[in-house]
Amino acid sequence: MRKVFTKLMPSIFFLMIFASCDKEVDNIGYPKYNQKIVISGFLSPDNKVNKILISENLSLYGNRFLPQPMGTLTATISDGTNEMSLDSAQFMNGFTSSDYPIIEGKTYTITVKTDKGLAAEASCTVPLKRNLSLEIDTSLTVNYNPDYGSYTYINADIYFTDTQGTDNYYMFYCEQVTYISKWSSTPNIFEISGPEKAYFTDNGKDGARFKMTLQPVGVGSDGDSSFLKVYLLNTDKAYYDYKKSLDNYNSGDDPFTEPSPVYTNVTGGLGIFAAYTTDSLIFRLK
Amino acid sequence: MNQYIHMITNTGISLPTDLWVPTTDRIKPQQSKQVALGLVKDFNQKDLSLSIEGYYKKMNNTLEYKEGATFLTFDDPGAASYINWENNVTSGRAWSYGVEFLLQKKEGRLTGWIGYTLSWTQMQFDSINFGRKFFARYDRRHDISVVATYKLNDHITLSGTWVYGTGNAVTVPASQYYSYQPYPGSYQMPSYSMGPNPPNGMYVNDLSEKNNFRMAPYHRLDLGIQFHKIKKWGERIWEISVYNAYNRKNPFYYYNDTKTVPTYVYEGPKRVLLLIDYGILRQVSLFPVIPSVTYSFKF
Repeated sequence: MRKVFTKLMPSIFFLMIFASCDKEVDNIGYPKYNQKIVISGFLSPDNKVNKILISENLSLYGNRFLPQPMGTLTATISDGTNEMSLDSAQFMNGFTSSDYPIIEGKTYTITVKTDKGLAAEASCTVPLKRNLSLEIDTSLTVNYNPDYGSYTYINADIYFTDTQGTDNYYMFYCEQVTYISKWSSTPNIFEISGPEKAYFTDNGKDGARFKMTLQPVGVGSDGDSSFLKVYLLNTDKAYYDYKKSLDNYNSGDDPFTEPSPVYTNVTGGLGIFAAYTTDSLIFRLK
Repeated sequence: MNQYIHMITNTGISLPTDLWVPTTDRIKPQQSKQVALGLVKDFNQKDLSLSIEGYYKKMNNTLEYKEGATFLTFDDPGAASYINWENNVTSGRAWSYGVEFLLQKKEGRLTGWIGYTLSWTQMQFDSINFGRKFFARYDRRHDISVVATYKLNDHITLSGTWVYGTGNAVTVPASQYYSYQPYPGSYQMPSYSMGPNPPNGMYVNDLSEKNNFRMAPYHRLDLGIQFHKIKKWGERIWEISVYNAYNRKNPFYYYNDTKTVPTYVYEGPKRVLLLIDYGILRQVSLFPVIPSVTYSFKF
């Protein structure tokens, strides 16, 4: 017995000291969860419906994804003169321009409160509508393959002119919309890549003519008709900061990358309340 | 005072990584100004002295990693050729102040000291933490060290050291929320079906306060006994010592994890057993109790 014990002793010793080098934290308090209101709102005079979503943050520890009741919500949106109450249905569905018009150059403030004492507020100013002279310049490439025949690509450059003398923030988006009636009554929509970063500023290029090259767009033989839809958003700084922070976001779990937070302009809560105006063009491919 | 070498450290909860980098054309040397005022009192017993010193130090051109900076990529070994560390850092300011107490006994059979430092270290960078001040990772509110050596006789010496330090300040999110990525095109904002994975966005952690969390305090007791013997050519010393004598599991780093807990819930009148994932924080420690035997010879 003594022999067995002597043999086992080193193993027991090493197990004892090394076994629990990794353990659940139980000797200090976890980071304190403070329930917060999360506002997601992007206002534009060009939207038929402006949508504002009110949600909440969820604890990372304990039973995750178990929402704590926020209580009864009350919310208002105001431009300093006109105020409108948002009811819970409108939190989800937005409001139309006839309910409450969004006007360029005006500052809007959203205030959200709950009967549990939570409160959040955020403001945004709608950028002025500018003459950006949005244009498209296209060329055609036909590729021939002996097995599959010829295939046509459109190469497109998008141009616009920045407004001089002001700090401007832009976001670019392009999609191809193709209608194929023999397959479906709803169109096929594909995002078309443009510049490396879809959001950018005029910093260092004040008043310049910008050029953005799209990836070649295929024009198949199946479609009845096909269009390129180009959207250029003139956004406020908050929208730009938010997009940039989402792009750079790192949760901190990667051991070799610094944690990077998502931008918020909501006082007392989280999320984003931003505004933009839209310039767009439609180019018929087929 | 100028310093031409900078230490940059990560602030996440995971593997601590300190990197020393030089001053370059783009990176200015760190500058500091410091004032200190101290008082030393020798007591009647000449071997006992107490010193108290207060200090205030202001630093400029202090370096930190930019938010989101990647400084090592294992999945892309060639990354080092195009990741320029100078693009990954930003400079700012720092302040450090505090007071230090030191009680020393220099002579007699029992020698040693008791030291205590109360300090604060804060930093501020325009492009980090939305420009707000935050506590440095190595901000240590309390730092205690007790060192004692007792000479039992001419052949045997006992020694003990106990150290205590407030835990490092690291960034640990407490919550997460859904962050929308609006599309200006045909899809625009989602139709708000708030399932676990709604479209056009992602769940993000609330990292709105940098270095908001204190790791568990670091403390440890080391004990030792030395056996001295004078030999013909010098002194032979056998030492038996124990590092971290009470096997304190000091945190090296933390990581987020989940554990599945069987939980009874009521679905109407029916009691149902569900397996629910609970979010937890796990700690990894290094260096448990480590005994050692040392032989040395002085000549």
